[in-house]
Amino acid sequence: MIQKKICILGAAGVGKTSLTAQFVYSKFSEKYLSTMGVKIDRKQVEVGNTSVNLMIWDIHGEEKYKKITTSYLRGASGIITVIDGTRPDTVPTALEILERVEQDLGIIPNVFLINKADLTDAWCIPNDTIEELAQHHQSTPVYKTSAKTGEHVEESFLKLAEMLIQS
Amino acid sequence: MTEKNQSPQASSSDIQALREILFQEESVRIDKIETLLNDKNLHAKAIAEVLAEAVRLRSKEGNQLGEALQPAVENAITASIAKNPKPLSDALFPVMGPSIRKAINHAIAGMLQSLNQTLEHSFSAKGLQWRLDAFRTGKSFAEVVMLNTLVYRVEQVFLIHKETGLLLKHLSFDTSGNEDADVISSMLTAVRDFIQDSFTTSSDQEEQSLRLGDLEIIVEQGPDTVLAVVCRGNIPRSLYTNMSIVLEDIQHEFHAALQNFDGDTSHFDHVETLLSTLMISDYGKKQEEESSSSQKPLIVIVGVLSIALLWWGWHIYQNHINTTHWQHYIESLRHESGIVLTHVSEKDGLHTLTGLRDPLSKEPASLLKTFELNKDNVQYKFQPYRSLDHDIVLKRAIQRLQPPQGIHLALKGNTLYISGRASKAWADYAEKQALWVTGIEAVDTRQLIQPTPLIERIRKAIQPSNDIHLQLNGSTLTLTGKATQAWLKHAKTSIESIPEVANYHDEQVIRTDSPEYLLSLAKQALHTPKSVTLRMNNDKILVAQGYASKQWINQAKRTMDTISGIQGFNYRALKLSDDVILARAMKILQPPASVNLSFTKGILIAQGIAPETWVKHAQENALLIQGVHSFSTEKLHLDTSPWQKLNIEVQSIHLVSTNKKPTLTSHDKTILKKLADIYQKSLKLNPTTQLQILAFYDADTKLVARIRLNKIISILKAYGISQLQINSQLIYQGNKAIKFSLLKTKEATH
Repeated sequence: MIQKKICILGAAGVGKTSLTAQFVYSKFSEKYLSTMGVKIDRKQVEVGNTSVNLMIWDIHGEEKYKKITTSYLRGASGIITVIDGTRPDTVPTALEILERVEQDLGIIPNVFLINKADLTDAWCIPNDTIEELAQHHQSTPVYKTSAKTGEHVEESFLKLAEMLIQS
Repeated sequence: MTEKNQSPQASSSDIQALREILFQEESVRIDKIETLLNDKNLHAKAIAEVLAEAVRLRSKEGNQLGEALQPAVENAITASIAKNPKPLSDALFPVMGPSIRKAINHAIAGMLQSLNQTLEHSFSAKGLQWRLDAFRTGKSFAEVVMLNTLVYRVEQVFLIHKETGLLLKHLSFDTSGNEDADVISSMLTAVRDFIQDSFTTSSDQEEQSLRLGDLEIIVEQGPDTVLAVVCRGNIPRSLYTNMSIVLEDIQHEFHAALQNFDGDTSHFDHVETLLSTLMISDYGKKQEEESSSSQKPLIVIVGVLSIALLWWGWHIYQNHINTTHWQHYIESLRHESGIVLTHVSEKDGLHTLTGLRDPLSKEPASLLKTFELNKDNVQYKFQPYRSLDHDIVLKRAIQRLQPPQGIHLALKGNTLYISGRASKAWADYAEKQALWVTGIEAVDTRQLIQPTPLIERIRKAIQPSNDIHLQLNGSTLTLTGKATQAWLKHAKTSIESIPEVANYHDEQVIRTDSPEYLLSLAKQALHTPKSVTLRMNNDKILVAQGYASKQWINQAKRTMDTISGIQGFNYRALKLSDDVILARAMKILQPPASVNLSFTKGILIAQGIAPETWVKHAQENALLIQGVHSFSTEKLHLDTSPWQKLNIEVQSIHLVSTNKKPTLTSHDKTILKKLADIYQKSLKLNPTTQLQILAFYDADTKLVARIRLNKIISILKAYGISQLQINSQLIYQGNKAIKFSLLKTKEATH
């Protein structure tokens, strides 16, 4: 069996834990609990004929005075970078985090998730931004996800798993 | 020129000759060496001479020789066993025997130790605590004992890829709890990273440990791997060393796989053999237990003594029982007719009875069962004799005379009395023979009737039962005894066919199916009280009239079922005597409405509240009423008592809830204040008075009633009534009222 460590990163409150919970347990809670440090989950997925055990490191959200502990990123094979679709300021945060990660780990497979797609009224990420993100390192998959409804959640994690096997 | 013309062969042979002259000795030596080299037998000889020494020398230098010889030795052993296993098994026999014994001893010692641990702690205070722990945690007692007596045990081993935190291999002492090993592995890595970041410890620090309750996690780091060992107990220092060795071995053996690790853990399947060397445990004794082990011999001695004492006690008890049974048996034999005991002895549990025994007496062994004695423990030494005991003499007479049916033998003193009907021939025979019987000196046959042919004919015709006696005087036949009317009718008809009987009398025969006879039987059986009149109607149904207790009626019903001939029992005309007495008492005493009279088992009971004058009147007249044996006024209260007046006042107070809420209104609180005041007054009259509160509830209001009751009690406490002065009860009665009354405690009533 292949095991891969992936890290889910982003600004605080973008929905990293909810996305992980939706992917691993198919559950969603309206309650917001800030992640302290790191929370680790595991889910086995099938990529073609290969079983991949994804060890998902849900790392606390990046805040102004609380930077991500880079040691948690060590050994990660892939990254999921999460942006809040209702908060445009989470885009630059996500890009900053990604830059730091790439400084430490080099360029590794990454998927952008723009979360909270169910909040259509509050949505404020223009399509231009989405296109720019998709052009990161020539091509990076971008998904508009909803941890609440499960929209594109599994799809995006599976995409990353696929990228990990192919890389 | 001549020399120049010499042929080359000639010069060659010269050189050869010269060589032979010059190197003859060397040539011989070279030939010898060649022979040595080419002759394999000589090789073997030479090697054989040095082989043992060579092996010895090489073995001293290292294991290479052993490793080199391993396949050959294995093949040799395999071939030897395949060919004939006997020589090898014979050779190994002296080794295998002790090895097997040692292994078995070790296994048994381990098992005994485990058993000892459980037994040692089964009955100690600590053992009880552990039993409680076992009950609380759902673990078995043995497991709790093991956990507490455990010195240490490695429970899990994690081999973690250092950089990614991914789990390479996991071992556990049991199979449960392995599901999340990969998450634990990642989490351990995260915790390690967190600690290193937070406390700026060196990432290369060899050992780290983490203690969680009884568990300790030791983390040892290698260049590419991290070894985490989860232990319980006091870990020996050697474990750290072993972990380092294992890590080094893993690093060495799996170096390439670790360098190129891409998440595929299948390359590390074989690492299990290395890791399993860390799965160690020790259930050795703890120091404190060692001290207790010194008490072990004492416990064993006490245990053995207790068992011995119990066994001794049981033995004594059994002996006592046996002795008692034996004495009773001897006593019964002494009273047995035809047996004379002259000597009784006992040796080694065997009882010997010596004496005389008439062959007609009871078999002595037949009594053994009655006294629960074993026949194997008894020996009889009886000499035969002829007993003159009454029973034996009579038995002897019966044996000798063999009396026909209808003949009765009786012995008084030395005289045998023969009665009944028998032919003259048998009577003569009996008279003569009886005198030959030992113990009989005279025979009385006056009661022996010798039937005439006529009376035999009459008997044959009427076939009388044993209850009927016939008397023939000339031609007059008189019947006496008991018989049914139907039989008498049949007898009379049958007699008419015998012309020799001129007169027939059956007036003296009691008719057993006549109403009069049945009535007399019933009266005799029922112990009829005077207040009951019995009669038997023509349908043979017993009719009872008058007054009787329920008890007598029930008894009479049961008795009537047992008397044959009586067709039924009619007691509908009977009146219950208790009701009659009560009615009489009510008429005579005329109690007021507040008094309730009841009557049972001869006791007239008055309860309620009554004026003093009535109580006096009742006490004077109650015992004069027929059937009243006692008059009870214990439950009667005099309404002249100020305390009782207060009680009546209290009893008139009650709280009613109209909804299902426990709230008390201001009106309720006013009532409670009034209640408290009355209670305080009653206390002055009787200091031991208690306030009884009865809170009634229905199916839905139990909780509400309880809360209301508690509120009422707290309000009453606020008004100066203590908890001890309150007697409260919750009663299921289908309403929601709260009632009050005053109670006198026992001290007060006494």
